[in-house]
Amino acid sequence: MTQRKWRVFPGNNRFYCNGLLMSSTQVAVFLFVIVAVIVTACLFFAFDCRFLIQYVHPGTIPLALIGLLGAFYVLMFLLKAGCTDPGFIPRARQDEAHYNQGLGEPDPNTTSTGYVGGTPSKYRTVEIHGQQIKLKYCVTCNMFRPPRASHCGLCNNCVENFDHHCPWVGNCVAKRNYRYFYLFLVSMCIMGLYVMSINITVMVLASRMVGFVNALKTYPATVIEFFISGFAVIAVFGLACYHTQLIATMKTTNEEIKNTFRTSQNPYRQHNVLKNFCITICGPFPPSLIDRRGFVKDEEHHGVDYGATNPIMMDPEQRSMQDTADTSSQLPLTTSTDNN
Amino acid sequence: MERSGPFSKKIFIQRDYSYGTAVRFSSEFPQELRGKIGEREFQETIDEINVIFEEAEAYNCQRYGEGCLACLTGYTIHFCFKTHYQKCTERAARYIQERNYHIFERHGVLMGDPMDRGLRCIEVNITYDGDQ
Repeated sequence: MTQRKWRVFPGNNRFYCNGLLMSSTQVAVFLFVIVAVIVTACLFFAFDCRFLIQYVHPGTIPLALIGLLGAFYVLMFLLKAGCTDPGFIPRARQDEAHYNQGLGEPDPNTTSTGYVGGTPSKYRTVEIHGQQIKLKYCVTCNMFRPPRASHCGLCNNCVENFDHHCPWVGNCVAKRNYRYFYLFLVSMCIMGLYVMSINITVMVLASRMVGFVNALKTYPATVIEFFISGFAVIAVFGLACYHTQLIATMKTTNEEIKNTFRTSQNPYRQHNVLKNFCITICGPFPPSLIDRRGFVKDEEHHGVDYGATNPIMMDPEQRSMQDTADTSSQLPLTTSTDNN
Repeated sequence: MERSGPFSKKIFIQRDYSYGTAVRFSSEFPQELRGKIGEREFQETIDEINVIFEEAEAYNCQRYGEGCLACLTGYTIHFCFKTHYQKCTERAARYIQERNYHIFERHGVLMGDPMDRGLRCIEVNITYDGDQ
């Protein structure tokens, strides 16, 4: 029996095209945004561009072509932001989970509560560029979260370089799709302003011909486009500026909100603003770690444990949490052997 | 007295975050491998893997150019070509396989592909003879 990995992928995600595309389970707003972009683009070509070419001058064709290119970019960036794996970290299997728990350091807060035999440690400290950073143990994913990673409550998985979960694109925004998200914001802003300026031009020219009130009546599509674009620009402009600032300082929204670096310097920071932008937008493309289209191996099925090196007694609460996490991750599978 | 048969153990080589979030694995020699393979061979392997990933994540004009080109095509180019990073992860997997075949396997050590574990760690399977 061979099964693709996306079928057994734990967490709240939807997969499409046999695992090629993925999103979170709430995609209604995302679909609305796509429809809004397509409708506006269609109205723009059907009415404004036709008006300009027919009644003003055939030389205005490049304006329509720019609009076409812009619409293509906006849609591609939006689809990419919404349908790629944002950088989920696959959950650790039983064998690795045991090993991981042995890596943590004893936490004075939990040992003081008096569990016999010691509790699994919740933290592990690593040094990054000489700075001590605490990695937290994720009970759902059975591992110490890598630096900058965070567990997304909506997707129920840890994500690398977690920025935020964006309902507009219906996906987490993180390491792998941050650039698409940012480019979407910027291109949306530019295209919104572009469409609005063409709308104004059309209105001015049309009102010269037939008067302002008649122009409004004759070209209602232009008015609709103007309002949709205006709303989009208002919604997106502030966000685009905010993310521009974040990229310049190499921070994520998550770190900015939680004010992670209030006491220490950002250890991940590259010093040159231009370089920060280049890395974020044109840097290397990290691969998807969850191998959605790969096939499930037998070993993963049964969670076979070849003797963990550091079996640490778990407290009952966490153990039951882990068990539920494990059973949910192995839902369609055969009986999982508990090797503790 | 009956001798226990061969048994195996898994260890996981962790990431080394001292240079930031770039993919790097710790080349600290695990005690479990003592007596199985040489420290130098182990470190060579990890260093080479680190070099491959360093190259995958390197920032240079060529990478920026590729990034810009991909962006200009609306990322449709990724349907046709593998990214540099993907090629590098494949190279790392091939390299590990080679090392397994030539050196590790005969000592009962088997190194896994870090991509199998989400680049979090490298799985190493060690088989001990029962009488050891």
